[in-house]
Amino acid sequence: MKKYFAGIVYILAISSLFASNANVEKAPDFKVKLLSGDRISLYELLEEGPVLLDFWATWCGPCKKAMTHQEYFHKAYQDSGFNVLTINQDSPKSLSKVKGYIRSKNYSFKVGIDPNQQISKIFNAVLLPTMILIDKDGTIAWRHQGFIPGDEVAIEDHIKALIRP
Amino acid sequence: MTFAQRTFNLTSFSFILFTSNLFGQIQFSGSSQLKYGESKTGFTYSESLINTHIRLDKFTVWTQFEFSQPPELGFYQDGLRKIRLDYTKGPISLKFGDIYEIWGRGLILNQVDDQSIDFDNGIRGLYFSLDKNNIQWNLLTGYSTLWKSAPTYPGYNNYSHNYETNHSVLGTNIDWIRESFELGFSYLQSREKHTLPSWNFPDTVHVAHRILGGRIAYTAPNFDIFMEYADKQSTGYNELDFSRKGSGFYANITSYFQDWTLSADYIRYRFAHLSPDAFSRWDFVNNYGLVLDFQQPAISNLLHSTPLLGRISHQFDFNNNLGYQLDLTGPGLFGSTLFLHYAASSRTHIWESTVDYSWFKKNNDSWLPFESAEGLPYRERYIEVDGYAFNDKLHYIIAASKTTDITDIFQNLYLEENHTFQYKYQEAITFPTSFSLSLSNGMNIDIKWEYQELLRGTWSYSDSLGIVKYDSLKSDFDSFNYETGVYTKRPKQVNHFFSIGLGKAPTWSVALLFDRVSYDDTFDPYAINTETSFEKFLEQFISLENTWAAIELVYNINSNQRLSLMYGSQKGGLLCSNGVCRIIEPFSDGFKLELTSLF
Repeated sequence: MKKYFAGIVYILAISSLFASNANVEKAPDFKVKLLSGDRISLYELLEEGPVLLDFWATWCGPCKKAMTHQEYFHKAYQDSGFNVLTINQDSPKSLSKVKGYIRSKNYSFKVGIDPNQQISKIFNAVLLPTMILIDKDGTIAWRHQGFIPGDEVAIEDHIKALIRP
Repeated sequence: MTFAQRTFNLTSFSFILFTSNLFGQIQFSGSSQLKYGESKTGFTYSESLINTHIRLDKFTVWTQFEFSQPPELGFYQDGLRKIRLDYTKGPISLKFGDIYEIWGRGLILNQVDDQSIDFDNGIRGLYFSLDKNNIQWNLLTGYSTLWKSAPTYPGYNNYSHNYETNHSVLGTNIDWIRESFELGFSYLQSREKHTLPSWNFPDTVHVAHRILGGRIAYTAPNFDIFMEYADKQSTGYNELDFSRKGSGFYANITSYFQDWTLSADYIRYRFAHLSPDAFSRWDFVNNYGLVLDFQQPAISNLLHSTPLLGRISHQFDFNNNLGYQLDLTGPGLFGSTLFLHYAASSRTHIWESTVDYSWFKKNNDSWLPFESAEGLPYRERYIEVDGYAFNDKLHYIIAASKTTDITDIFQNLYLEENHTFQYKYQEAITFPTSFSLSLSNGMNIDIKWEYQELLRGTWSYSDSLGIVKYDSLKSDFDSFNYETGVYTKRPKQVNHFFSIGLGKAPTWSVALLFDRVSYDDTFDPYAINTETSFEKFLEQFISLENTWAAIELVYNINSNQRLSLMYGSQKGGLLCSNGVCRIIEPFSDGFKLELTSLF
């Protein structure tokens, strides 16, 4: 038990140390296949402006709640070059549900498919939803795990901070 | 773990930290998950998972360390669990270490490391990819040690796997992508060292598996189509005279009409034909040449995430399954979204038993699922309305589901003038609901309620000369009191799951959870006195008979660290993840702590 809590303290210290450097962490580039069939890389999208990455799955309730707000952010700040790129985590067992869900909601943001969680692994997205806000120079500006109603206020504040000229 | 291994692991971890700090150009990121659980009835676990990614130019190193004594599920582990070096230059990429890949819809290869059910079908080896001029070519080689829980093998328990197989794998995959058209071919072979129970001689046999498949996909403005076929052959070698052939087919067509989407999936998996009784059908120890664990193909039913529907999930048999599902999604009333789902599946054959309890196939392969109980049919009807009300302040999900599932047949005996038929039957009607109300200042209230009526038991039928002698269900929930000699009939179990939570975004949320059954059918090996002091407190206000109660707190320490704490009891039962299911023991009178950090 003592060893365990010593471990927690150690991990907290290490993660805090790196968390303090989080502002200068560059997002790794990746290519993802979109629902439309096209392929896009993160840095191609970043040329337009900041990007909000959102990892989600059709079986994740909180993810779906968050996506309503992602659609609003995507539309509201698109003129400033901002994009929402959601990365779907459904495995082949439920992949056929993804397009139907997105179409039924009329979402206009880009949806990438990552059925074996390769992209979520490189971004360390261990919980769903995980949101990662990336500045146009590739710097990871902010991260958030989970979603409860009201979180959208904090998300929007961080988006506004990035697109402010 | 030996001293040398421990020293190696500590040195590796220190090296990673040291080099990442030393060289500014090295990008370092990672995550950690710490889990601790302790119950007064003896079930204790502590598990730490640390993932790190180190990137330097074209190289990336992924490592995963696990320190567990023991983990929540699985074996004790103390040190490096996974490691992989990735190199990418232009169209070429190379992965060396623990490989997780998917080809097509998983009829040949779909690799996952799912810690929630302790399922890991990764391969340690080399993966080469070339992505050039609309062609993607992959080459895979390596070996894999797979662990599973096998009731037919010594040492079976619900916490850690007891059965091991070893595979030496070689495979290749090629995809040609041209605008909205895709064509792919895959080949995978595995030489398996298959372990048999120690009382067998020999206790290990060698089986070679070869799977060859192809797929085609086309995306049009108003519809998408995907089809995949895989042909599998398994043969024995090293003195094993054995051969098995099988195949699998999956197709999906999704059509769009204005705001409506209709999706149809069809599956026909006939990789192996095992008799339909529970002893043979799921026995992957004494039967070999079955579907490989690397094959995790698409399924023809919904994956549910609500507690009560999750507990009655259909156990999908990848060896032999025939079915389809239809999904219709579109606008509902008052701006909501309507989702309608119907799924039907069965085995590919009807099986008859003989007087000596052996089995034989009665018909040729079928193309559509059987209605008759003799084909082990599964049916699912599901409707869901999802929307917002009161100026988008209230989010609601209201759903209803009806499932019927025949899971095993014990006997299906036709004699000249009579028929005896006995099978396991399950029927459930479930209503999952969820309401989330946003208040001012980031506060919100979250209520979930799920109601279920569950019928489960053994159905027996007998007729003679056309006259039905009996045709009835003996419920699993019936009870007999040996002291009083009273037999109590309980035709169905009524279950409730209720949770109420309060949260303040983006910092904290707290929830009370109640999981109640009308009759407790859980076997809890640790159940001595599982009433928690928390439950005693609550019992002053409400009755908690056959109820598992818990309180859960989630606190976001900052945007990178999240702490969750649960105190109370949780009901065990079937836990399913991505179509793979596992029985989980109850957690009684204790607390669970989980800290997730991103760094």
